This record gives sequence, C-alpha cells and structure tokens, in this order.
Amino acid sequence: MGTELTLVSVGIDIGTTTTQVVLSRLTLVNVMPGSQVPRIEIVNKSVLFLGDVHFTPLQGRSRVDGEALRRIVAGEYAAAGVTPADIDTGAIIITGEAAKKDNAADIIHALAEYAGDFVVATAGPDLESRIAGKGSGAEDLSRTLRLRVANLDIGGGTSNIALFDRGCCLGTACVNVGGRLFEVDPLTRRLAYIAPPARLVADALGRQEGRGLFPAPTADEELARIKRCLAWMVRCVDRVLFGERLDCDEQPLVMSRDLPAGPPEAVVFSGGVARYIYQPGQKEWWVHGDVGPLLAEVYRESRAYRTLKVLQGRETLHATVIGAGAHTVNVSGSTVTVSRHALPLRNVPAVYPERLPGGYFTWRPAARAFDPALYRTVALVVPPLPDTDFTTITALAGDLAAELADIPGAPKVVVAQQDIAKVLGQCLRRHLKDGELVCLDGVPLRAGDFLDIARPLPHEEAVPVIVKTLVFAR
Amino acid sequence: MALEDNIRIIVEQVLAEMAAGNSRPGPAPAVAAEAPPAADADDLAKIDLQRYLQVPSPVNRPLYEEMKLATPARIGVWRCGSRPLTDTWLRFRADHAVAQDSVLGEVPEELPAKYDMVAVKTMCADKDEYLTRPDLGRKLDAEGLAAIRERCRKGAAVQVIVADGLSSKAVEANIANLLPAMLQGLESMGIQTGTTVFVRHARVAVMDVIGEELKPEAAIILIGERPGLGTAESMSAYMGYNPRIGMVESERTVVSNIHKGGMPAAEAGAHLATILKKILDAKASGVNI
Amino acid sequence: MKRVNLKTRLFGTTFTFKDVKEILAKANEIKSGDVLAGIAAANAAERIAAKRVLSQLTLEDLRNNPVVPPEEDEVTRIIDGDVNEAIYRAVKNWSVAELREYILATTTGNDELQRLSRGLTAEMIAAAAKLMSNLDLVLGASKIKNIAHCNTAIGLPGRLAARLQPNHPSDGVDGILASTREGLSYGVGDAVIGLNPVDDTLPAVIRSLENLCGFVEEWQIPTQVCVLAHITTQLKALQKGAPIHLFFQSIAGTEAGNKAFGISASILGEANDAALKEGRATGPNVMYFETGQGSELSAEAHHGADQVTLEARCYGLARHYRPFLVNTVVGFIGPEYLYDTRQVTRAGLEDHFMGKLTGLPMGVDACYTNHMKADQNDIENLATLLTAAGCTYFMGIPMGDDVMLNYQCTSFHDIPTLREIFGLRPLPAFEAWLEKMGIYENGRLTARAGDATIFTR
Repeated sequence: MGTELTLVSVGIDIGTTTTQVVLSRLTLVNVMPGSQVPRIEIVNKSVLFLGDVHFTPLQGRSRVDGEALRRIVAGEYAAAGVTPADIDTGAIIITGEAAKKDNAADIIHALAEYAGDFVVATAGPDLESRIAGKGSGAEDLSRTLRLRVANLDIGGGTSNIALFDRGCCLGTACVNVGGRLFEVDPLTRRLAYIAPPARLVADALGRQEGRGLFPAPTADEELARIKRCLAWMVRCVDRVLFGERLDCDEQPLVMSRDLPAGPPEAVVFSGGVARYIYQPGQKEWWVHGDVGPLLAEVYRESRAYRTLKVLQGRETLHATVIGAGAHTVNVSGSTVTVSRHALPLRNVPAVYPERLPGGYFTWRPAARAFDPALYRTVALVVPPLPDTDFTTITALAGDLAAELADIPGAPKVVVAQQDIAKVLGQCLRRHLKDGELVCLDGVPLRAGDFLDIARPLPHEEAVPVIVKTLVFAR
Repeated sequence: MALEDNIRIIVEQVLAEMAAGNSRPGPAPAVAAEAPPAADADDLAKIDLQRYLQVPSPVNRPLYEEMKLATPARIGVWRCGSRPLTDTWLRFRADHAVAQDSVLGEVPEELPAKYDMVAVKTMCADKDEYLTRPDLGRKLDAEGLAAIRERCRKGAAVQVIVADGLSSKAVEANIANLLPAMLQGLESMGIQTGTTVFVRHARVAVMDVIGEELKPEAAIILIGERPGLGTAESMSAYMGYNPRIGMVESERTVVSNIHKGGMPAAEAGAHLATILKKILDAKASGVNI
Repeated sequence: MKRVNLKTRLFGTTFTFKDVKEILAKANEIKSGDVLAGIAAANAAERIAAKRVLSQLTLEDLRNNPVVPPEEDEVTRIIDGDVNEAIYRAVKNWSVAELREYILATTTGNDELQRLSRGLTAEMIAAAAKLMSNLDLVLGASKIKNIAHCNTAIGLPGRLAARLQPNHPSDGVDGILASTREGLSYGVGDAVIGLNPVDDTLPAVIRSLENLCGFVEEWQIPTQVCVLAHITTQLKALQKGAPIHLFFQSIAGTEAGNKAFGISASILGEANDAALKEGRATGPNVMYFETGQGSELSAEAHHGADQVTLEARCYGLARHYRPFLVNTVVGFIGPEYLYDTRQVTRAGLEDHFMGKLTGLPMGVDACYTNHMKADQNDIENLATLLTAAGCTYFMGIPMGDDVMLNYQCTSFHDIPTLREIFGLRPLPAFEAWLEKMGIYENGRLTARAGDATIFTR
C-alpha cells in the first residue's frame, strides 16, 4: 500500500518514413486509502530515453526489412542500456504507408516478441490517431483548457485526426496526406517517386486540367504542380476535419472517417511535418528527400490553421512514438480472478453478447466469428448488470459457464464492465473446475477491441491490459 | 428556476432508470428492476446530487457539471444571500436524519435467524450506553457467552461475526449479498467456517472475546461503519489471525467502504474470502503479514 | 513545598480531594470523556465543591502541581520552561478566582492579557476556564487578538478567516480543485487551503501540494497551502523540494500522547526549523497544529488528568513553536468524549478561550459526527458564539459535509454569513484579491459569488 510501482514501457513507431524507439517510465500507485480495496492508476509518465530517428528500412517498395528493423531496435536498446528483459510493457505501432506493406503484420508481430515480454503489436488508423493525440498532449490540452481540440498528426504517409473534447476522444479520421507521398532527389530537387495516394491526386488534377501533371517540363513547373497537389490534399483534410461532403475524387484519399458533427475549437499539429508548421521558413525544402516542408507551408494556409485556435502540445515531433509507449496501457480492477499461469495473453478479441428474448445473454454467435485456429481464446464481455446481487451473479455465472463450454479456447476469459470480477470468477470456477480462468473488470471495452493481458503486477492482483484495435487480417 | 431544474432532473432520472429496467440484460429476469413508482418524482432524497447543478447562470456550465462529477462534495448548490437554498438545506438534513437513524436504529430481531446466525449481545444495555461506553461494547453479557459456548462450533478455520456497530443499516443492506459470496469463496478454497455469530451493540474488539471462547484459527467481524452523509450503509471487515483477548489493533487486517457506491457487497464477500485465505496461509494478520 | 488546601464545605457537607489533579478534573463541566476515564465529579454538588476549592488555589499551587510531573513528561517541561519568570512572580500569589476576575475586569484589555499570558502555565489557564461560565469564556477570549504571519497576516481585529478544506475521498485532483474553486467563490480560504489527505504517502502528498500550490499561483491567491499529512511525511516532501508553506501536525497534551501520534518535541522543532530554512512561506509563523479534547484518553496517555487541562497543555506546547494556525477539532472525537451538543459547545468555548489566553491565533473546527447527539443547528450556534468570542478562523467545507472524514462542520455559506452578522471581513490581502475577482464588495458577497466556474481560463 502506498508504494509506487514503476513500469518501463517501450514505444516503437514504424512510420512511412522513419522509425523511432522511445522508453518511458510509468508510475503506478494505489490511489485508494489504506483500508479500502486498492485501485491502481498510472499517475505519471516520463520519457527515459528518446532514440534516434531512423529511416524505416524497406526491401523494395512493397516490403519492410524485418532484419534491419530488429537491428535498429537492438541498437537503440543497447544505447539506452536495456535488454528486452527489462521492458515491462509497450507497443509497436506501424503506421501510414508502412502498415500497407505486404509483410507488415508478420514483421511487427515478430518484432513485438523480440522487443519485450509484453510489448504489443498495434496498427490501424484509429488507434494511431488517438495515440498521436495523447502523445502530443492534445488530449491533456482539451481537458485543461476545456476545449474541443483536434490533433492533426502529419507524417510521411498520412494525416491523422483525433478529436478530443475535454479529455475524451470523440472520434478519429485518417487521410492519405503526408510529406513523403512525393519523394525528391535532394541533389537534383526533382521528383523521384510518387506514392499511390499522391498519384491519385495528380491524376484527378490532371483530369481537371486536361493533361498529365507529371512529368513536368521544368523544375519550377514541377514544384508548382506538386504544390497544387498538396493544396488539393490539404483541402481534403480540411473537409474531413470540418465534417463536409467530399468529392468522388477525394474519397479514395480517406482511409477512415469517424468524427462527430461540429467543428473543433482548436487544433494541435504533431508529427514530422508539424515542426515546419510551427517553425516555418525552411528554404531547403528538399532536405529530407520529400516534400514535408512544402506540405507544412500549405497547411499554414489551411482552414484549420487560419480559422481555429492553433495550440502547440508538449510534444510535436515524437507524438506517436511517445504516445505508443506511454499511453496504451490500462490497469484492471484490483479484485479479479486470474489463473496466474494463463498470462500473458495476446490478441484476444472482445466478444459482446447478443440479447435473447427473455433477457438472457448469448456470446456463442459472436464468438463464432473468430477462428480458433487463429485466436487462442476470446474474451466474453459482460455488459453492466442492473444490480450486483449475489443471486444475479450466480445466475450469470451459470449461463456463462454453459456458453463457455461451447466456445473453444483456453484460458477462458471474461471481462465484466462493472466491479464484480472477483465474485463472478469464484462462481465460474465452481462450474469450470480445473480449467484456467481470467476474469477481469475495470477495463472498458468496445465491440471490435482486442486485448493483450499481462501478468499481475507485483504484490497486487491488478493486471496491466492493453486495448487495441487490430486491423491485420490473419 | 431551481424547482423546474429539479423536476427536469428527476424526470430524466426516472426515464433513465426505466430504460435500464426495460433493456435489462440480466440472466435472472425474475428480479428485473421495476420502474420506480411515480411518487418518487417528489422524493428529495432520490435526487442525484452530483448531477444537480443549482447555480443559475454559471460562467461555464459544462465545467461545473464535470466538477460536480469529480467529487461527491456538495458544490454548485448556490445560495440565497449567503445562506443555502431551501432544497439544499433540507436534503442535507434528510441525509443527516438517515445517518442518525442508522446509528440509533436496531437490526431487526428476525435478521440473524435468516442467515443461521447465533444472536448475542454485549454488556451495553442500549444504544446510548453503547455510544458512551466503548469498554462495554467489547464484552459479551453472560447470556451471550453461554449461548456461544453452547451453540457454536469450536476451532473452525474461520469464525464469522456480524455486528451492528455504528450502522444497523449497513448490516441490513450488505449481509444478504456479502455473506453467501464470502462463504462460497471460503468453501471453494476448502476453508471450513464456524457457526456465524451476530452481536448486537458491538465494537470491533468483541472479536477477541469470541476468539478466546471459540478458538478459531482466524476471525472476521463484519461491522457497520459510522455513517457519513453520503451513505449510511457502509460496512467494514476486520480480520485477525489467532483472535484472543489482548490482541492489538495493528494485528487486524481491515477492508472498509463496502456498500453500493464503494465496493459492492457480493464482490467484497469474494474479496474477503481471498484475504482470509492469505491470513491462514501466512498464519498472521494486519501489520504482521 | 507549600501545603495546598484540598477541601471545602458546601451545603453542610465537607468535600475533600486527593490532589490538585483531582480538583482540576472534578471542577470540569461534565464531559463523557472524564466519566469514561473515571475521574469526573460524582455529582453536581461535588463538581461545584471542586470549583470552589480550585478557585482558592494560587497560581503557584498550579505551577507546582502540573498534572503530569516534569520528570515524566517533556510537555510539562516545555511549558514550564517557557514561563516568563518576572510576570509569573507578579501573579503567583493570585488565587484562580482572582485570575478569572482580572481577565474579566473592564480595565483589562488585550495588552494586559498578552503580558499575563506569558506568565501562565496550561494548568492555570485551564483552571480559569473551569471557573468561567460560557459567557465569561466568550468575553475573556474576545479581548485577545493574537496576530501571526505566514504569507499573510491572521488574527487582526475586525477580520474572520476560514480554512478551505477541499477534502476528497480518494484525493482526486479534479475533485479537490473543484471544492477549492467553490470555496474561494464564497470568500473562503484566507486562513489556509488545507487538505486532509486520504493517502498519507510521500508521492501522494507531494502531488497534492504541487496541485494546490499550482492553483494558488495560477490565480495569485494571497493565502497559504497545507496538506495535513503526518509531519514526518511533510518533512520528506520538503526535502524533495515540494512547496511547503506550513507544517501541520495533530498534537496532544502529554509526551505519551504525542508518542502515539508518532511525534515528539524534537520532531516539531526540526520541522519548524526546516520550514523556516527551506519552506516557501514568508513567515515567521510556519506551523499549524490541531488539537481536541479527549485525544490523550483515546491514546491511553492521559495520566489520569482531565481533558480540559490536557487540552490547555496542547496550547502550551503549540506556543513553543509560534504557530500560524491552531485549532481544536471540537466535535470530531465522538460521544465517548463529548456526549452531546451541550458538551461540544462548552468544549468549543473552553478551547478557544484557553488557546487565546495562551497567545495563539486560535481557530475552531466546530463540528460533529453522525453518532453524536448534535446537528447542524448546534454547530451553527457554536460558530455564532465563537464569532462573538473573536474566533480567528473556522473551517469552510461544501455544505459543511466532509466527504472524506465523514463528519460535518461549518460550511462555505457559514463564513460569509458570520462575517455579515458581525460586520467582519476576510483577511486584508485576501479581501483585496476577492474584490479583484469580483467575489466580494464592501465586505459582502457580490452577485457573482458562489459560482466556482469564475475560475476558468
């Protein structure tokens, strides 16, 4: 009681252009008074080690170089003076164009295994946007300033929007607008490569103008045409941000769009391109071999920049990687039922029940969607009950046990959405006999979530849990 | 203004409760919550204070609403001159009234038998003596001692004691869910319990006297806490290894704040069972663990 | 040593007492704590007889017969050591009756009592209180103005201050700041913003200190901040660089009682030195103490002495450290010590008077628990009496309901009400700030007051 626990958490961000490793220290304490049941919360997050920014190693245009990536991580661990065994938790996030590579899923799962005992592989534009907004500090700003703040994380391949209202994330969107969609040769300053999303834009503009944009006859003309493409792209981001209808040409740029109605009051920019938004005037725009500084210039003309209150968060450049390391872990309730040897568990899909006539729950149909060959087990989510009486819980346990018998997977995982995991677990154990059981509460889940569940914290029953939205089809 | 708000909030609450009742997903539909009767709309005590903002035109209403959710303290209550509004004052008095009634009220005579408890009492003649004589609240009267000797199993692994303490309502509100959950938990861990004892007008240390008589390995007393204005139903559990006369307070392991708004009774019962298991395994309790 | 008269006749009966300690105990107005300790007068007549004997004792008798012998108790030694001998010599032959009458005399004012105070021990001050009626206690205390200075000055004439007590059941930062904003919007918080932490551990205490100080700095509030953790935890927080204005500690009137609180005179001295050397406050008064009748008995550290005398000894000990704030938490301990409203009211008036006569900027946490025969009306009565007595400060809590300590005391509303009734104002620097914020105007709440969200950026 009262003692602090610290966890070392790693964040690895594999982006379109760059890859970076950050180590953070998470401080956990029991926030409840001595005689009350503990509630473990993360009270402080600090960066221990900020790794160098590396180019994301690729093999050709369609594959990530897994071996080189592992060497980068190993090198950074060595520089930080840690080994994978020292890492308690963390997340690897693969974002933007990198996530689209053929072998992305395999690579990052393999890397996660290497990076530490409980480092999770995550991806998906929704999570990425959210993580960037937390890492940049936009979430905190929205809470302390009591504003509706959009975080716009602009990387090499995508612009990720997360909308926070007073500390709550209301929605996210991801648009294929980034600084490295046009690559240039820093020596000749001429276009070297056009990524598919940029190609779409160039084609659409070309149709409007009645000619192909690229190749352009002169360097100056090429630059002007790139800028027109970027302006077109940023307008698209503006439209997404302000909740407006998109042209059919614009729609393919939008990877996901789940934002509530109503514009934000303020905007925070983060990501590699954002630094040039806050510090304009990079004359040598070609310096990174892409058009990042140009995109920043165009963003300074955007409606977002001109009409909203522009704030700067505590972190601009490294928002995603810091977010990945420090903002992904939750801690379960402190009264739970866990078969110790059953943990850790990775990639457990959350299964919400259907309601049968008469008020009974059934999880079986939803669980069938998850192939037991691919998933070790599933987590049955128990929605909030109208009361937590012992008779209600024993009846629930009976139903759950009957269903669990028909749902493959071990250990059996149940996640209650209110504080009943201990008593429900004990009731379930009577039915399940010797089977391994993990029954948790204190972790809010939504349909479509996946969980990674760590071993219990030292001297506590609570377990760290990472909730993620996994997009890899396996 | 305040009245309108009041009614609006009550109606919203009733609707919300009705919605919860209708969509009740429970596995035990037989106990489906009924929509509260319309009469509740006039019940001052039913207003959820944390969602009842009385400041007429605050500078920042959303902030105020969040502030109220961040604390159970009675803020955002407004004023007439420098004094509280009438409803606020009466609700405060109502909460105090129920707290006092809970201190001075008695656990119903028939309750102990419902849970197969042997009912005894301490040397306090009444609640008044109980409040002023902590020494007497730690001792059983002669009749009680005799009943324990005659009717209770000796030498159990865990002796369970239920006591009114400073809140009779805590016993009434929690025992039905706490006791079976705890007993089930103990049973499934193979821990055998003695005859449950109910003690009227008891202080925590009555555990020592009962321990001395029945010689269990460990004892747990579930006792009503001094009511606050927020809840009068909060219960604490004190556990001791080798309970005996002369045991010091630091030897007891305590879990407090067991009630609907704190740790729900059934979950607490399961939790207490695992703590008792730890105490038995460690052969120690309190600071000695 | 001079023989002390231990007997008297009343209604034809002779009452004989064993010693000064027994006289002091039996002269008390009835308190359930003295009954529990087995030292109270057997009946009302014996009580009055004891008062009569006490009234005839000299101050020297009382100095020579402290309720705990000096060789056993550092509190006795500290109090005795702090006596100004010149002043004492001038009054040592006074009877307690004369002391009472001197205090109440029209010709005796603040200056005289300030001087007298330095020649008195706790037993003498307690003895005077035992002979006084409730109105005597009000009048006596009202003459004394004890001024202290931390970041701002307290105890000034014409002012009534309040401690803003923003307690929260889990030390939630947002909740603590919510209550803080609310209190400030009622003009509460000039004495101190003082949090009782749930979690007494170092990181939690540092967090709360930083959050509260951050808020006070952000809004430039002329006051002081305190987190009422154990003093050793506060010391460690100071060593870690946490912003400390005031060191808080609960104290008892005996060495054994203090030991039960985990403190000693040397720890208090160390803290005082540390706060003066490393603390963030202007000073020179940087200590905050809480006391309350009955705490020695509940720690079984009462040495057979009564709770009023032991309480006076707390003030004698407190004086040694020149505190900025001292208050009794008068109804918190429960009916075993103070049974009902009548006993709490009496204790509140006694404590306040004794504290003032000891030279302290004395405040009162006028409060009650739910197992006591008292309600909010009773505590409002007590606060009104105490304001008439010139009480330095009260507690301010949202609607008087402390959601962490589970007791009730004076509310945010009560502070401006008492100021209004008695024509009192907040402390000067704080009042200027309240006016700047548009919360107070001409010593009254404005239309804007009572809205906690005026503290929004």
